[in-house]
Amino acid sequence: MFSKLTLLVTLVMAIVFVSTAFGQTYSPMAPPQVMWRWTADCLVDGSPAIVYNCPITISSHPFYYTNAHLHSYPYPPTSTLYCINSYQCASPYYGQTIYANTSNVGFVPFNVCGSLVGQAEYLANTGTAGSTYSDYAIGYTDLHYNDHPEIWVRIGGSETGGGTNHGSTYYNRYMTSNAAYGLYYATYQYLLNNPGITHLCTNDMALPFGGKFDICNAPGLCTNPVTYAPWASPHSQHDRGTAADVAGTASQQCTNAGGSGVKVAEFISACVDHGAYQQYSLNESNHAHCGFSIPSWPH
Amino acid sequence: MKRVVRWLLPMLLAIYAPAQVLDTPPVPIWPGGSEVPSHDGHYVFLTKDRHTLVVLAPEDPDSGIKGPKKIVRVPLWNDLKGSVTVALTEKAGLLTYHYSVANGTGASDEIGKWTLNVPPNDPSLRVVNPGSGGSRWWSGSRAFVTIAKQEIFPEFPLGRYLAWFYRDDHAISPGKTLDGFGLESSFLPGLTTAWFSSGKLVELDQSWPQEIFRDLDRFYEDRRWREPCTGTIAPMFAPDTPEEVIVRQFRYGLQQMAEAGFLSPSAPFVKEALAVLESWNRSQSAEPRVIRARPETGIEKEVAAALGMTLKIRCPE
Repeated sequence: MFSKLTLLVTLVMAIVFVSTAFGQTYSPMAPPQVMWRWTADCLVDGSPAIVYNCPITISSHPFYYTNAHLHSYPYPPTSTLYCINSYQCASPYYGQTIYANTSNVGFVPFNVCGSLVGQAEYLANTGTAGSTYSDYAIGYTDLHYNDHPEIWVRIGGSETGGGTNHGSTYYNRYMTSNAAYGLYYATYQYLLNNPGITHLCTNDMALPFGGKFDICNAPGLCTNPVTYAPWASPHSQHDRGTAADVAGTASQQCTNAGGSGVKVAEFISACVDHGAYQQYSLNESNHAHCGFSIPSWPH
Repeated sequence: MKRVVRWLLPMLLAIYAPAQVLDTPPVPIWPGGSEVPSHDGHYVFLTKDRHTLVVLAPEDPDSGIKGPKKIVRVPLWNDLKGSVTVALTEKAGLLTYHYSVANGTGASDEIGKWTLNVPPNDPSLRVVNPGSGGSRWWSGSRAFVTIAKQEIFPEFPLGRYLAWFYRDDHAISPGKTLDGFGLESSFLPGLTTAWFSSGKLVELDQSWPQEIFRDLDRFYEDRRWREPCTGTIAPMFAPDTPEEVIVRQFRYGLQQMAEAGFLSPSAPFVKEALAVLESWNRSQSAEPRVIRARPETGIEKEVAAALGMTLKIRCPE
């Protein structure tokens, strides 16, 4: 069972913890696309034990509506499990569910690789004596809430008419500290150069724990087969908390919210002077997209 | 009382400092034609004139980099013949750097942004914007972070970008000059880098595959490939900067300027200026140093002026 789990993140870090409760948690958290090792035991009288030749089924599942993903259909992808000893598992040895046997080892070691979606998940371990569950999450732990009401108006949330099914504007504004500083200073430079403008409109940055910031279910987008991409790109460069959108002069949402749209080329220029990458800072018609880091791949 | 520094009289001639010759492009040169060529794993090319990127992008975004490709031309808007001239005036210990920016007749794009690299720690710095009747034609300000590399002078410490951006229809067309840019500072003049840009966005598509962006990363690593630059004079030295630091920076800076083609290494003024700077530590003297060769070009006159102001080197006018 998972009552005694060893979490070996790829970075030499080992965390041993006990988890028996069933409920979403954001700890432990592993980054998307990072693989770490767990072990599964058999359950005997409610406790984990070394048991030989014990069949178990291990599967990963999402907690719905976590990390500001307020949509659940189609179902979100979850972490992929990889059986380490192929002789302990039925082919194909990997997937969201693996069928294993503790064999002569007495337990089943396996790897977990986080999907691109930041969310709370759990592992279910089902054997003849019942099931146990272990909670964890996929996401980044270095993202911070990034709002400065003295210079920014928040848009892009449900209350401003720009919702992407990720809730209010409180949920789309998380960034790494370096990128947040860059955006903050770029804003000040833009304001210095444009007397009379006091507030710009900041739109999507990243979700609270990052990961896939899909824009499916946004009004007008989900009906479009090209942009209907739940749990996937487009919008991929908002996965890591190193990019932000700032509304341009064409944004009615910004005007309605009480801010001023930017001249996109000039604002991106200010971003680049504060550390954004020119090649990842893009004109997206009604907004400037400033990318302060080479984005994570794959998207 | 405002005093015009005699040896820093405004330069009458706008001398075009030739764009630095960059030898090997970070991406291959586009062979031309309208068919997708054999590309050997390269997806981003540069046209021979260096003003357009040619991207081999997937015809179908879902097919990724392996599928059929189409040719996407991305204008860099960098066909600029930018030059900057500077003159200095002094008033009550504060220097004013008067800049004039020109775009040569051979250009086909407008200059809509130009940038200086300035030191991070100049509390006295104030930006002067060109304009008329209370309206700004351009707006300038200094960035807050210290990340600006001196591409012409790679050994100089990192600085801060100080950029002016055009307003309305005041971009500088080919063949035009705009003055009225300025900096006020107590810092003494030294060599720095100036970049010229159209102020237009280079339109890339974020849905392109990673392989294309890897090539773009290589191209964008050196700013000189997308924005022409030149060497110029700006407030670079705090008033209490040790003399040897100033000498070292000028010596290195002039060598770099000559290597990059902004100064002629065979010009008598350049040769003598370098000789004076080379022998600086060996010839301790209470008397001002003298360069007897007359500065001929605009940039030589500006360097002479800066040397006079910072190191009290006398040059013929």
